[in-house]
Amino acid sequence: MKKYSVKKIWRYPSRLVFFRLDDRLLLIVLGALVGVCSGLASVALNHGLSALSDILQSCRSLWWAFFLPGIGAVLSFLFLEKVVREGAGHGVPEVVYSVSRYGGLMRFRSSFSRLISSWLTIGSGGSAGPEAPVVMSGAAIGSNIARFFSLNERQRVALVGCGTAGALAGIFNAPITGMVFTIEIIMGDWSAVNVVPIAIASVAGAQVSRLLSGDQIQFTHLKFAIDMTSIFLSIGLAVVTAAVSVLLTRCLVASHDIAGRIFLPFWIKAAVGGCLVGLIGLARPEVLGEGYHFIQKMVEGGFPAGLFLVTLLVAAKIIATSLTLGWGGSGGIFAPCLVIGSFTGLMCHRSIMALWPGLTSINEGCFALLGMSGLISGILQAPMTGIFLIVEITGGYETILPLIIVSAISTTLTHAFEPASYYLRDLISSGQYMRPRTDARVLSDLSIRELVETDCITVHRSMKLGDFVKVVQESHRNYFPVADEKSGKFVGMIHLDDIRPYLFDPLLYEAVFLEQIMRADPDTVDIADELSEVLDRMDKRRLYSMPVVSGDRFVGMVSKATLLDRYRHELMVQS
Amino acid sequence: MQMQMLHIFRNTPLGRETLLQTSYFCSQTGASPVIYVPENLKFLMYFENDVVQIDLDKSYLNNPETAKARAVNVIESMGLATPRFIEPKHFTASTLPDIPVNFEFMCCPRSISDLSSKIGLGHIGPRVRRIVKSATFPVLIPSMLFKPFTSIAVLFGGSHNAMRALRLGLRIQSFSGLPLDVFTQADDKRSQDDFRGILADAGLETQMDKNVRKWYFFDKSRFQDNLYEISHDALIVLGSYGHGLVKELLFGSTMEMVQSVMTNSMLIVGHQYRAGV
Amino acid sequence: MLLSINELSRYLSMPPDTLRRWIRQGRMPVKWKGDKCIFSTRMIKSWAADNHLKFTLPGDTKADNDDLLSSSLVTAMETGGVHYGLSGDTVAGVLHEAVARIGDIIGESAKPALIKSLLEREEMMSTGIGHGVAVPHPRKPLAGIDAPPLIATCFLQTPVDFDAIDHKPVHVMFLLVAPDSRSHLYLLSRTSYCIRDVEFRGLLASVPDKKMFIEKVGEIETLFGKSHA
Repeated sequence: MKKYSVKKIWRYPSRLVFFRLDDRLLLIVLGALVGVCSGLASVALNHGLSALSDILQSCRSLWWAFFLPGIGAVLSFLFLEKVVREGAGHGVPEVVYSVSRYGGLMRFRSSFSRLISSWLTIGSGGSAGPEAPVVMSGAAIGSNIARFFSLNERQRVALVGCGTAGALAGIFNAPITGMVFTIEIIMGDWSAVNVVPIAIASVAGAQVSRLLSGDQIQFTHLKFAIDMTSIFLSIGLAVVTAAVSVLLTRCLVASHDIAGRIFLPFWIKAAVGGCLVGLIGLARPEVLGEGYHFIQKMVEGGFPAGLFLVTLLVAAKIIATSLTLGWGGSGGIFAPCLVIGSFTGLMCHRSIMALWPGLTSINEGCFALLGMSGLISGILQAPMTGIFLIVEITGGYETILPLIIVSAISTTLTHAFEPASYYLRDLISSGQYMRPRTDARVLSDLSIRELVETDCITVHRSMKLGDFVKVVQESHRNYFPVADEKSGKFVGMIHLDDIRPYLFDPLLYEAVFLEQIMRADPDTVDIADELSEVLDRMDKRRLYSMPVVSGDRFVGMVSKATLLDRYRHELMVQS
Repeated sequence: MQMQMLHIFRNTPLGRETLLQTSYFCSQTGASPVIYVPENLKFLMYFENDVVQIDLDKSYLNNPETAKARAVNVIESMGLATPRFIEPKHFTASTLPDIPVNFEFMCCPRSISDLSSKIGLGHIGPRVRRIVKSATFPVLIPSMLFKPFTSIAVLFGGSHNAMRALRLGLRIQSFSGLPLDVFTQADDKRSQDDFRGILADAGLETQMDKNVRKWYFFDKSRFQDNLYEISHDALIVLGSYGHGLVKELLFGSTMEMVQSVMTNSMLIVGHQYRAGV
Repeated sequence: MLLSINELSRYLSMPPDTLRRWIRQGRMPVKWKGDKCIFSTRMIKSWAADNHLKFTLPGDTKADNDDLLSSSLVTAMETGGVHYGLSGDTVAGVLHEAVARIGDIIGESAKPALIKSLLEREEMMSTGIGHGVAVPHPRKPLAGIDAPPLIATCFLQTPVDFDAIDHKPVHVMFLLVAPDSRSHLYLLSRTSYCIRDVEFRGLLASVPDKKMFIEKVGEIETLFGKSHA
């Protein structure tokens, strides 16, 4: 045993004296490592995507090009389902789920599966983004590195956060966005212990991407003059982006529902969805792929399209995205949001121009930016991410005032119609949305097994009242479980109140058996039940304690008094 | 608290044999079986420091409508109470349920992801290995056909995990009252006295003298050949060290060797196993 | 320090399942080493204090045991001493005399208050519990006395009428002074248990010497402990 631990001490860094006192240093070191790895993953996907679209560029003009997204979607679906056998799902919710319920445990296969499947979907022209897949890969990389080093759950969650931060920082070359997104969406918790390693990982991820892809910001930095008019107009823009956000969310859900109702093999659905996207793409190639270079054009102000065409593009991109993601393609919502956002911004700009032709102080590139931020904030309901992302990918700080206004208003308005963000809606509806230190989280951590009090004295059904009174004298509890003496099966409960009327009547002591007094078939809780369900049942029936059984045996009592005690300890220990 | 044993039910004759073995094990140890009837071909088990995805062989989804009734039937035929069925409450993805892992035992055929036609001696499926490696409970790998065991055989090689296997063997002995034998293969470095010393250090000496029927001690020929001494109807309890996959393929392990020779049911104590649950 | 999870659970008075989870989640400064938990005692104590938990090692509870032991009947009787030939023919007279004998233990200044309180108690109802025995004690534990719980055994020169329940004159007094009501009740119940013993009453009548008397009390107290364990 001794030899073993010496030989493999590097696998257990938390045992080193150096890190034992405080694991912050350990987390920073490992966070940097995770940041580098997830940065590499994002660079790999970026390069893979541009390589694949270069290869396919030559086929774009051919008539059968609309099959390409279909083929891509099928391959991506088959890869996910048959080769790596991941369950379906868009990535980010799984990360949040595993962070909140299982301390960030993720499968190793997740660290590459989404990269490849989304590479196939997007590279072939599907309308989706590479960000969510990269985020999931980063998270899985973090989780597996934590597992390799046998870290505990708290540390593992921090490293999962590092992974997502590094990945996002890498793909956008935007370290602050990586941090903010991780804290806003993945962790839901600003604690200094987590923020520091996440910041380091962001830096590492961004630096890796700068080393390998050059230090370039996604979109060229332009100087926009912002005056009062634009600030007022941005309020109008925010309303429009909120409306588009709601529309996009509804379309995504509807398209998923429709796909679910069609009884076809899944891969055929993916093919149909992909081909439809391809058909749209034949008419308007702007909707294909992640679409970043169109954004570039719009920001620069050189996008040649009138109001009608831009509105059409908004609709087309929404439909294409819904078809890709809802029908079995693999990818994220981030990039489509940016594209739709910039189209929306442009749409607003064109309408304002049509209404007040003399207004020259507003710039269409600036509106494209604001539109992007509005849509991101609306869909993700994460205003900070929306603001910082746009500031960082355009490298401009001048637009910050209208950006904040658009983000804030768009988030608020969208929230009124869609109370849950796109990433979290599934989690919320299945009750799995558990942020640290919330009621749901504490209840999910505590189990009946931990709360059960086993100091009850079990009595037999054929015990005489007189003997029972002696038992009562020795017990300090009010509840007594009754069991069958032969089989040990739990048959009922006796509360002290039940025997109070007979307590001072020694005549009954020899005449009454417990079987006659007990409450048969009481409401019981199984030892494996979830605490939140049990509490609901207690509330409904106005009970303060319930007997716990395992199989047909009595185990103990669970009571609200003990729960309060444990609940407090749990909250204290969690913070 | 009652001990529980997880069983993943396969609605085929082969699955019935494994379930019979589970029921027998439960009736001997006083544990109660907990049955999962899969509805998807895959599910996840979140262990302490690992998450294992189990991809089941297609036969697990056979005739879902009869599965529960059949399982209850088999279990009640062995004189046990109606088992609890697991309804997955949490899903990592819509087709990917999470199965709880807080059990005292689990029963797992030699292979659960490959076709049952492949199951034979000398083959333990990769998923089963992962479960053994990460589980905090011992895994019962039943014999192909149901065969009640009438004694317990602990393979004790002196290692840390072998010690835990021995303790587990003693616990099962105390639950079931079946006779317990210990089998040890000496090597060049260690003699029987050394093994006695190891036991004394662990404070198991008196328990050993009291509860063990016989301590077989081999110092000749290979362990494989000596395994013939183990009774054909014994439950073999052994520890698995939990090497990496590569190491296991290159050098093999005791678990590997034993299961390629023996047809008995085996209870394997993995590296993460924690006694006294 | 290396402990099993069950031991740790006892010392922290939390269920082992909760502790397992906390260790897994990294919420407490404890790590697994095989089947045992390894931790630094100092760190876990400060962690427990931060989280309003109690961490008591078996060594730490020794103080409590000492406390209990010190209030055992034998110790209290040894502290109070055995006094022979108290003079006086009234209740007040013998009480004055008895308090004077234990004056050096409770301190001179506390004497008047003690006598006043003892007399008050006698006025309410006699402490003569029959068989020629009285157990005079203050009504409430006295604040000013800085002494361990004590029982002064006083053999009277002449029996005194205590207005006891069986109207027999009292020849032995157990003067009981305790700093708090818990040990007061504890000693009172043990004393009355002794007096119920016929053999013990016989011994009292014979006015035994101190050594023999204390030995007998010790014997009965062990019996008491057994029957109430």
